[in-house]
Amino acid sequence: MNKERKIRILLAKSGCDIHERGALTLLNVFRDAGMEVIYTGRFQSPEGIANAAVTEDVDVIALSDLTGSLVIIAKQVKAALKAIDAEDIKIVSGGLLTDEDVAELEAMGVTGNFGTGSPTDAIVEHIKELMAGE
Amino acid sequence: MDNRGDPRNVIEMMKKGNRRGLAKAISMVEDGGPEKEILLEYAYHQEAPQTMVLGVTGAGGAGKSTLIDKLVAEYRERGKTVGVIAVDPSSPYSGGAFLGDRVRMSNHNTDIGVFIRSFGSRNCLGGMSEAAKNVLYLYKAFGFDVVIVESIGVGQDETEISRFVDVTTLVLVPGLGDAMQMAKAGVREIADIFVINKSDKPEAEVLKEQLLNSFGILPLEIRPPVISTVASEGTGVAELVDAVADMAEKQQEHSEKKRRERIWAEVSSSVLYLMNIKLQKHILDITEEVYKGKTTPFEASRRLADCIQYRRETK
Repeated sequence: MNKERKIRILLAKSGCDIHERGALTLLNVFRDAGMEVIYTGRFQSPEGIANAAVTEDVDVIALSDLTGSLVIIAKQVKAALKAIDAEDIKIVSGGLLTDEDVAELEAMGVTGNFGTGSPTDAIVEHIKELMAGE
Repeated sequence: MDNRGDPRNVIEMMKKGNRRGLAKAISMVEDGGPEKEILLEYAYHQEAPQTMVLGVTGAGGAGKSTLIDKLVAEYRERGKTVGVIAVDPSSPYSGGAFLGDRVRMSNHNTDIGVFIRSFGSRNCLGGMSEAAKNVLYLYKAFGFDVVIVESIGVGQDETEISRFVDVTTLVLVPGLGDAMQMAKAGVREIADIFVINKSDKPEAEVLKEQLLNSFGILPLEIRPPVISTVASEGTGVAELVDAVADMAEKQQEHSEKKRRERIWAEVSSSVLYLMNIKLQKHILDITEEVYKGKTTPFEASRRLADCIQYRRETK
């Protein structure tokens, strides 16, 4: 009987990106912020991420990518969520981003969009704000 | 921030086999409150008798998640649907948790015959979170053929899980201790099946010898099976699935006794859980009284315990 609901996050990596440091750091950051964070591991398919997000009933999917493909990945994950009727799950992203990428992601409804070197406090704050609007 | 909606809608979704319905129902049960009561009431009366519940326990790093990944694959091969309950520890400081069991099971992310859910222990001892026990009913109501429960790798004294599952497997790995560890009571005694994982390591044979020796003078026919596996390669997994099926059949003989024990465990666990919440305020009061020297801890706790009076329902 937990009085307040815990924020659940699925931290996901799609495609061929091997760089895991950012994701591993955030796993600890989110845990220390009192959230429950589930990691998919690397090299996931967009459909796999969408399915995992549904079964884990997460509030947010956090996409991490350092190959410069976040726009493509976000598009695919969004499509996969739509296919299983779970568009309401929010998406945030972080990694290697150009200004054009950020604009495109924001237009898609993907928020956060933190570049490398972002302070972790800002990321946690963003997720909390995102959930406070619920 | 509660947008989970009406539990009745969720039940309707579950009845249609909607995975999202089950996922939402689990969250409601995990978060507690009135929705939980409604959902459990529904699930309790739905319990599908054919569901086999398999518990997998063992020390952290023994390869439980990897083994479960391969077990799921084997059960899928045999045409069974599988639900997985994976419990990882919550942080005692922040209350948050990093739930990493899925990483090993990501092969099944796109298979809709498999439902994997990760749970933070949310400060429950004994390896199974309070929620995970309740959620077992939801899994059964959803009608999986097999449910696999992975419990936190606490190690020595994690015996609670055995009461809630049909078959308990204990995963051991070579290199964690000698014959003395084998002789210790506790988690070792609750195992229906022993698995020696990472059995390609040189010490694995020794571990198996020690384990077999530890059965001592037990009659041959009631000695638990010992299965050697290399989970990362899938070696021995089919044998394990066969052994589990045999064991589940054998357990049928004691099903009456086992059912009583399970009800007992469930009621005790849930009474203690509710009491803990209910009595916290009084315990804080007592703490203050004892601190001020007005009473002793023993006297005060007896006084509090004496207040509980239960009357059997007469019908």
